[in-house]
Amino acid sequence: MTRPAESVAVAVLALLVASCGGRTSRATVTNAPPPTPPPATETAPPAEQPETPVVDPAPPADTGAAAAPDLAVSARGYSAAVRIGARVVDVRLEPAEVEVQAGDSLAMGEDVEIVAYDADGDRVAGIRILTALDSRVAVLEEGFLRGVVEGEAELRMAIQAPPASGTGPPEVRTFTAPVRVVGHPVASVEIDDPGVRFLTGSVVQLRARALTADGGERRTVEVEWRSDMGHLATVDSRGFLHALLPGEVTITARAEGIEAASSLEVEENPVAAVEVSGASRARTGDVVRFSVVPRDASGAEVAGVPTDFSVTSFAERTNSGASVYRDGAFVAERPGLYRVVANAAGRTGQALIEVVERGVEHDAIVVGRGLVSDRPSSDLWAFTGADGRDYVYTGTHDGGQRMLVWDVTNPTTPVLTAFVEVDARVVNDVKVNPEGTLAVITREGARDRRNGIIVLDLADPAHPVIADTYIGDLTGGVHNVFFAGDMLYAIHNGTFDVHILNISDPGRVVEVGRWGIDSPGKYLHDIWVVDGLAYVSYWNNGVYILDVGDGRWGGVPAVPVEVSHYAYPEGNTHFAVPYTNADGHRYLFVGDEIFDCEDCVSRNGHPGDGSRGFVHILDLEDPENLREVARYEVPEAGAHNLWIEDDRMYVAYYQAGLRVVDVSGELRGDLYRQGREMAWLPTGSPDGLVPNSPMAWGPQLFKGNIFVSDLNSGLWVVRLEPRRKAPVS
Amino acid sequence: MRGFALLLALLLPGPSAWAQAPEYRLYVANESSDLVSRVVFTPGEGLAVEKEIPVGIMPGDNDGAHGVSVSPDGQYWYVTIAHGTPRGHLWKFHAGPDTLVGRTRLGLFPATMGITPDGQFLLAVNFNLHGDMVPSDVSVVYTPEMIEVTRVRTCLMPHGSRVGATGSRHYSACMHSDRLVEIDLESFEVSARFDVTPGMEALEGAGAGDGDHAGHAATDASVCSPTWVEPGAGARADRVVYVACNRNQEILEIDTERWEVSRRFATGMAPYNLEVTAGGELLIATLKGEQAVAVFDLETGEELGRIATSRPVTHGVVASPDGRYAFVSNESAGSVPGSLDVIDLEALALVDSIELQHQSGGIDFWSVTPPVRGTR
Repeated sequence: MTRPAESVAVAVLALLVASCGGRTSRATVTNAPPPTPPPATETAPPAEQPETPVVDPAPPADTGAAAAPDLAVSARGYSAAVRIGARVVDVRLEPAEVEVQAGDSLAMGEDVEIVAYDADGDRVAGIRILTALDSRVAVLEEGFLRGVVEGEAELRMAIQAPPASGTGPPEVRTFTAPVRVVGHPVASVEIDDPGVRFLTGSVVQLRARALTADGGERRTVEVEWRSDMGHLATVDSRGFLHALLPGEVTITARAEGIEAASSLEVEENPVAAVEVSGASRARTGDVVRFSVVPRDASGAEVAGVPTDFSVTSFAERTNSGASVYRDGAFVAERPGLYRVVANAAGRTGQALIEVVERGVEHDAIVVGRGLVSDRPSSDLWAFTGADGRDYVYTGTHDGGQRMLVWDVTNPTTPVLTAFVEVDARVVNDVKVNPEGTLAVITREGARDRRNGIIVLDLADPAHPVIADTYIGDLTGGVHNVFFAGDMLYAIHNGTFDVHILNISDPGRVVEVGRWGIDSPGKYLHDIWVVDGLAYVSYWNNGVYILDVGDGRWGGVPAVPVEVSHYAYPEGNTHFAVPYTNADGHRYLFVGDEIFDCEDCVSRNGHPGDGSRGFVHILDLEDPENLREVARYEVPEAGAHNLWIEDDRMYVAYYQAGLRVVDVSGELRGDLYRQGREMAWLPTGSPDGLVPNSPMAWGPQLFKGNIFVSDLNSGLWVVRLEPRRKAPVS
Repeated sequence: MRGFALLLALLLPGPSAWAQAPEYRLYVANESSDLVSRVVFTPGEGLAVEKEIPVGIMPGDNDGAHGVSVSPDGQYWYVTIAHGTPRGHLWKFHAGPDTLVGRTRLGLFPATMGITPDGQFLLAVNFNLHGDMVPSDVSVVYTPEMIEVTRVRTCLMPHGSRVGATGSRHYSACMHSDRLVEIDLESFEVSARFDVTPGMEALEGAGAGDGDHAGHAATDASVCSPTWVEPGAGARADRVVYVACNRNQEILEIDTERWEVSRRFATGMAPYNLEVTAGGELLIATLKGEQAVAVFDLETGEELGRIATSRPVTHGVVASPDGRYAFVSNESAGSVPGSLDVIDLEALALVDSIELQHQSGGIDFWSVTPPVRGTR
């Protein structure tokens, strides 16, 4: 689509095409000035004045940009494009509201023009306009504006113009324009059946799904609601239906001009009483399910009644808090007496519940340490070696170059038996296979910038030896790895794909597969594999679940199949590990690692002290439909690696040290505020690399002890002991 | 009159100031420590690290302080944070206080930078060291506002970034495309592509693309693999540029008016970074594979000397504005920290060395006090 070919527009178009290096042949502007160097000083001789396709610079206008001195005279030393730039007071996109579909591109200069205006609102031609856009939402490449994902982006534009003084180097003036990336057009709308009756006096939330032609859901599209019988039922802009009088009503949902209608019947409300039942006593953090039985005047149960809940506290102090969700799940953060109210089609019932302290506090006792203060420590792995002794291997960072070997058979006295030195400055990750016969350590910062991995033979686990150095296509460095059968899944810093290596012959590692998402600016960080499913942490793109042998979705170890993915607004998805607790609840624990945020305030100027981020807890009952149900968030600190075993989550929470959290039973809300935190240990040390500065990196429970690596202080061995308190009945 | 004399005495430096030895100051980036070292060299006293400035934001993921450039007026210095998530950043600091002024995001693995003489534009090559082998670009940053105003698509793995003396042209090399690319700083468009493949050196036609050359055999003798481009200075300013051919061990002098190779300088193993002294008399090349620096007389073309450096993986070089000293960074390897060497360009000898942090690489000269000829 090309706009009307008025001469000025053609000139601008030609410049745009030229500037963007479009796929057409390089365009030139008739009479365009030859390139001339900008004047280096005020005394630079005036450049030869070429003819230009536009009139002389306009007189000063009433804006700051145009209020320059008489540039017609003083700007003679500048090239024509720069001189003309002095007239520009605004640069805009045309059309003014640029919208592109995700996955599609707009040709700059054809679908979108960039036009400069003077103070009189007239177009200014013959000016060079620079452009830049590179975001997660949209990118500008080779003269094409490409939509990536739904969202808002900002196109930057800049021109050069003589400075206000008229002498000296040209100044840059910048302008911005919004770009909106939308999903593909809505092809159909479906109104979900809420599964309840519409009884007079009730308020029911309706939900409509706007679907594209390929079945994808447009979650951000605006839906308009309408009722054809407003005296019987109304529906507000958020989809809440207010049932007023009995009768037939047709509700219409409309998105991008596509409509769906649903007929429903508003019934006379028979509910006369509401019975609410649930536990009357609980601990903080316990999820108590309340149920509701609406009854009519005769005492008979009424089916299909819409219900919701609310909770109030009887406490006069402010240190109380509890939530009750729409499904009747109640959870309290603080002890106290609470009233749970159920609303069933406008009738209410209530129940009381007394909440007591959870009482899971333990003491974290340091039983041993392996101080490392000459280099930062990174990840760790604990295992029993072929010689029957227990070991922990730890990596090193920032010029560390080594993997350290600790004999922890006596956990009170870790003994450094050896270290493996490799050509790397960062050994970020250390993993040992389940048999305890092989280890893999990752390399970053190799001398020749060809990194890859190192395979270690653990025949003598106290003194492992290098069995193979594998680089292959992993030159950019490997940040994390995970063993699964014959495969090793490697996170590569260069491609930001998962590289799948067959490691059945440790001396001949072979890449057999690769998987990655197609997203500009993707950044991959970690992977964890359990029971044929891989959990891939893809930073701002969220967590992905892959079938790598489970088989239900057709995946095999070398050819993963995506099962689902889940992204949250905080982004920075760093780590994900699944866990099924003793009560059968299955969750995915996902950590984000945030360092570049407004709240990332360092305590002492050390960059690491500013970390933020928390553990997101997703319901994993249906791997295809992940839902975030709870979180664990230590304020003013940043989550890092975690380990879950025996219904306890061990989190290396960077500057907040080691944290141990009770993750038994059902999980809802913020576990940190519910008294589920069992113990914590600040892993700072006065003799650490950075004294008294905890930076807990990774935990692992092993034979009853918690092994923790800390960036600044090395290896810690910690044991939990119950705090002596009165038992909770 | 007495008052005037007193005022004059206060304003003029005393005898001790006149006798003061010059102090040369530099910034050096340590890529695997995420620290920038500010170093002072005083002849007769030696090198000293004055300050170490932390850069980067993620202690758990090496951010990679790669290139350092000081603004022409000496007021600011810039460092590229190369590794990114995945895109890297440019950080701007006040020189001296070394306080952060601003940051902006660039492309994949931003590496070396060139700055226009007026200090307004900084051009950083997005090296894309480890990504897919696709054409990359040069980011153009307007430094007063620290915003990236455009990107210029150039070639595969652009490296080395320098602006000519008049500020009208920018040059970068393409490690995987075997090209020298010239950008017109008036239009911010590629104005020339010069093939540096051994035996095929020539200006490419207007239709030349930004990708790889077809049919290139990847042997050391058959590719240049250019890692650096350095404009000539003095009488050769804006007339020639020097290109380090890392693989086939030579430096090309390319006449950018006639677009032809005017001279060749045979080097040792893996010439990497280049520096021409301010007067244009000497060309200094780091030999990454030889742990040495080669010094050439640009008048005669003769190699004046080859000086061993203190540690391996010799990386960056910058000459003092008076042409007396060359300062050379050495990456070293593994847990061994990098180092900075001082080479006396008259004696052609290593005169001092100091240990820095891990993987010392990007380097630029900041100041001389008191000023000497041609200095800030």
